[in-house]
Amino acid sequence: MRFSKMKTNLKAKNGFVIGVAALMTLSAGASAQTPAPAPAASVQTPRASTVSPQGEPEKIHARSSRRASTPPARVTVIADPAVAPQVVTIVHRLSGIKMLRFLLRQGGERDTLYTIDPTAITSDAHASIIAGWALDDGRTIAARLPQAAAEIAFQEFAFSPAELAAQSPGSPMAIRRPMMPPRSQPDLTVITRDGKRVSARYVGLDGLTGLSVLQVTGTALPLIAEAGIRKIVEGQRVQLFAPERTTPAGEEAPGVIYVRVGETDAKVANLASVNSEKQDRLVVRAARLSPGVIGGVACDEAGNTLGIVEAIEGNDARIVSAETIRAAARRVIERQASVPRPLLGVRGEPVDPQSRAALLANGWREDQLPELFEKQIGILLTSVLPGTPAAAAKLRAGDVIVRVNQDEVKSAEEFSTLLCDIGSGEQVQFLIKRPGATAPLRVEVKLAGSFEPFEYRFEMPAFAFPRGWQGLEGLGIETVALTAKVASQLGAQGGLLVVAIQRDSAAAKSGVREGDVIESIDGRLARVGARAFMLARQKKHVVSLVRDREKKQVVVETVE
Amino acid sequence: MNRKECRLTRQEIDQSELNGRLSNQALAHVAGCSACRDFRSERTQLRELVGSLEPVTAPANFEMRLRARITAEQQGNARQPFFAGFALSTPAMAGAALLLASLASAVWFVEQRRNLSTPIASTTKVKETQSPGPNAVPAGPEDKLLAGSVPAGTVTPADNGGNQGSRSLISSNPKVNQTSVVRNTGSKSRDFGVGPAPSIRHSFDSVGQVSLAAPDKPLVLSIQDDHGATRRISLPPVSFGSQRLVDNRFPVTQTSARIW
Repeated sequence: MRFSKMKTNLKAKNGFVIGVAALMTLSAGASAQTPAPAPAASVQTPRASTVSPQGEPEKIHARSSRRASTPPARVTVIADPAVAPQVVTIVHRLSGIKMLRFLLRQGGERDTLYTIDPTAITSDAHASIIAGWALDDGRTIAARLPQAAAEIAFQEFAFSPAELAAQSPGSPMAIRRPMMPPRSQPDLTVITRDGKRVSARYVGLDGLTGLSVLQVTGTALPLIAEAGIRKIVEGQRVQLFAPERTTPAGEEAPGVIYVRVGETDAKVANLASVNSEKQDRLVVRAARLSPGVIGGVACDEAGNTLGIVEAIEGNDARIVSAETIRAAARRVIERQASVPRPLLGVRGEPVDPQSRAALLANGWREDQLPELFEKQIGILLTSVLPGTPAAAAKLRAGDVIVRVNQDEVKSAEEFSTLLCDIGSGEQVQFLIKRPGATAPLRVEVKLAGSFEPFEYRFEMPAFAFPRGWQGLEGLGIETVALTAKVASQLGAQGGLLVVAIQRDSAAAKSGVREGDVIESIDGRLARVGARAFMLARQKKHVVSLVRDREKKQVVVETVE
Repeated sequence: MNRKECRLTRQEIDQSELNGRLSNQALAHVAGCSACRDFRSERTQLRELVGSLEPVTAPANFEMRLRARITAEQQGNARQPFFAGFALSTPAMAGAALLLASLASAVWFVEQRRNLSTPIASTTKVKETQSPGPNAVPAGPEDKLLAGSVPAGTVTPADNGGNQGSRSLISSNPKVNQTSVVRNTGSKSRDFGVGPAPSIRHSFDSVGQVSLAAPDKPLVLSIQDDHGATRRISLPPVSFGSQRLVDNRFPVTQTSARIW
């Protein structure tokens, strides 16, 4: 107990002696102890710290500490009782890896990642603030989350027409893929107009409308009984509620983004489908619209919800009707998963006098048109995409689909609704009129599914590979290629950054995680884009990867 | 009901005690304003909930275990010279001969404060129970660490849990903190007593506000195509609505309505 002895001595001696003794001792101690550089744990500068196996300084640690020292910004949502009670504000936060996934899927960025702050990959990188509509059951919320593509499991992506073309017609795999809930719950915060925070989970994306459906998990929202919407007429006043940035007087603070639900006055400009009994979409016009209003909730003057803003063009905003949203929410809730848009593989237009030219161009004679126009029923197919279910069923341009199962097709919107009600992967019977045919034909088609296109173009992982080969998606892995420079910042010599792992896939079961950097598979260096990286179909694959700067080997076993 | 009344009423609700009575004006407002009524009941529930929580305490032997862990991590250090426990606070100070005099003074003050400082009495007491008497056999390196590395002014996590006062003791007495540093000559272990424990920041929003942490800078990255050309992409930290982040949106007129 040298320390105790010293303590006693210090008390006994006078200050001067102590000072001198301490000075001498400290000098001796210092000279004995300090010749070597200070250890890594106590050094702040990266160059003096540990060295990576490749001999490069671990800059990542220094950057990490700098990032951590910066206080995060804050988003503060201000309550406003004047907002319609069914309008909620949703804050959707995404990590860097999810934003990479978003860029990969929605932005189609399949090139190599050249530079990025490595610390941004795992930290919060983006917060999207958007309105949501709390439906009158007190649990369901519909919202147009712009980064929904980053949140759905990638096996939910069905084949694009191009990919379908590569599949053998009639292949069951080409028709339907299992629906899965998201692998990990998105970081979503729902805030009501009176400033209450509500927890909600992401249920899925509706491919037909592009709307995400959330369900409140804790205390239900107050039940908001909305009166039925009367007939919507052109010129009717509409209010669009959408979150916007604001600066409350006297509350300016650095790093704080204040948000309030803004209100924009508009008028119904036109109704999308005058022939239909169902009002699927409508267009409203305002003096000025910003992109921030997309996703906003449109209400009539009585406060009843008309729908959600789907897109804007100039001062016009297109709104998906409340009824359509309810139907979308029902679809997603019933399946508890994302619902792709049924894919038939045709382009067409409703039969009406405006389609005369198209009918004549596709084999119909002038004398046949009055009969078609009499009822104005059916969809004229103007083209059939090769490799799609429509092509497999031998539908062709000029065919008019007049009935879907037992229902007559009265408009384009109704055709969409009918197909959606049937659902992707399901069998449907069309009654078609064909130019030159003496009688209507019955055609059986098995619908495929797609999330593309609604508003965005989703890039789908490639599943079509030569026989005996598969892509990384076959193992349940979605990746972004890295340059050697970025890879070295993550402790790897090159490779592919894992941005998504399919739940219950072979890769997931073997322990591959998002954020891993795959250096090689079966001894082959993984330095090309994942889309082009092909693997022989075999039972075991040895994956060499880097996780948290440590090299690991994982054996991925596939089950036939 | 105007917003000012709501704001004032909520302010009063926030400032009132649990089960405390509000002013007549506020009560009248609450009676007529459902939003404020909800607010009051929510606040009451929250306070009751907080009040019903059990106090969180560390295990009785927490400090012992902490010190034992530090000691165990330091066992690899064969060379532990005299005064190793409190001689140096930072490498820079160790190298600076001109600061040695002030360090010596710091040692003196630490010794004085150790005996005077009330909030650290419990720490000292535990230490004394572990320390041998004056006639004890000279201690080994582990004892040196026990006696010297855990400073008198160090507030252990058990003391620190939610106790702002204890934490401020450290910051208000920098000399005490200086002596708390264990010189580490190669081990990667950390001294848990060097600085204050990471604090959990409680920030209460103003009435009618909900705050969330958000990224503070754009996500900047660049992409290289097959020909070696690079493109820079900067994604804003916060976006509103369906703000265009990627350039692939179809105009309104080219909708999917006619593609099935």
